[in-house]
Amino acid sequence: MTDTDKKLLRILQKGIPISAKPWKTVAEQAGITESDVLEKVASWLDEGLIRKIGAFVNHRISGYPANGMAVFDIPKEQAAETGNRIAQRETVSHCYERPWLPRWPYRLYAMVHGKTRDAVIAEVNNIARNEGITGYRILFSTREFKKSGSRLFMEDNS
Amino acid sequence: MGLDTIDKKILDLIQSGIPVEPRPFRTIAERAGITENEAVARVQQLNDEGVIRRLGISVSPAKAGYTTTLVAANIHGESLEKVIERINSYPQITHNYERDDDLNVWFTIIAQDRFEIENILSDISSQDGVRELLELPALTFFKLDVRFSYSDGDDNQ
Repeated sequence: MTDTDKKLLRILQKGIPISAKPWKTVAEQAGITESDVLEKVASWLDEGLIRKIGAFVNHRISGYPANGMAVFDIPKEQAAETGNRIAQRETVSHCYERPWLPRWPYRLYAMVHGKTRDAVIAEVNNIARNEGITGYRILFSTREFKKSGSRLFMEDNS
Repeated sequence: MGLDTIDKKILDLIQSGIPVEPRPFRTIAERAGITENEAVARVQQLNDEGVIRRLGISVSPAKAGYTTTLVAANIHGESLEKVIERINSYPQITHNYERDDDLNVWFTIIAQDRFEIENILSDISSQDGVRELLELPALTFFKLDVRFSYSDGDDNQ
């Protein structure tokens, strides 16, 4: 990755302008042409370095104010199948497999969203029932200490 | 916050992606049945109202050569504020939440390599009040896209 690439990624991570020609503004900031930007961004999307270009909504005020982190105790062999099924649910935004530890015996993690805390609990109970999972719990966040955007390529060599 | 049908349509469209073309809002406007100017104005309005948190990109840390992990900690109440300050001081730590469990602090780290993660964790574990640190790196990603549907109405039972 060149210094120009890193600079472009830093600019994009700060945000895309809301204007008729946003890529042109980005190009000016990066000191390259608009077609260079379009080409780079398209290839990064293709290779998966950029996962998404678009709007990130504030779910707390978008009708989905409640969310909880559900953790499920499932056997390793079932992780992929169950994980993929849970991931398909509209109420689930993130779903990961993480190490099962005796101290914390859960393998599958899902962020579950709903209109209320009770709706989130009901949905998690629902998931567990459908999947036949008995060992699970929901952790609600009581405070947000920090939430920052991606901080990649912050070392500025350009 | 009054979202009308067009706002909802726009939110669905721009969460899925901003087209990588010179006039992306023209495409979005066509799909929403409005003019380009109106599309830009509405997105600006949704942004000003805070419905949209940001218009931007999400980068895969792994594809970019970074190492990530999730850490769950048990931190004693009296020391909590001080340790949180310490944790938050690291730019590598991007998210940090208090949760209602014995493991009461959960944070994510995005670092250049394992060495950097281990240094951060060894510093945090040496702070007063930190009783336990569990590292829970993601092994498989099944879904990592926060996207909410607006147009379909009450779909989130």
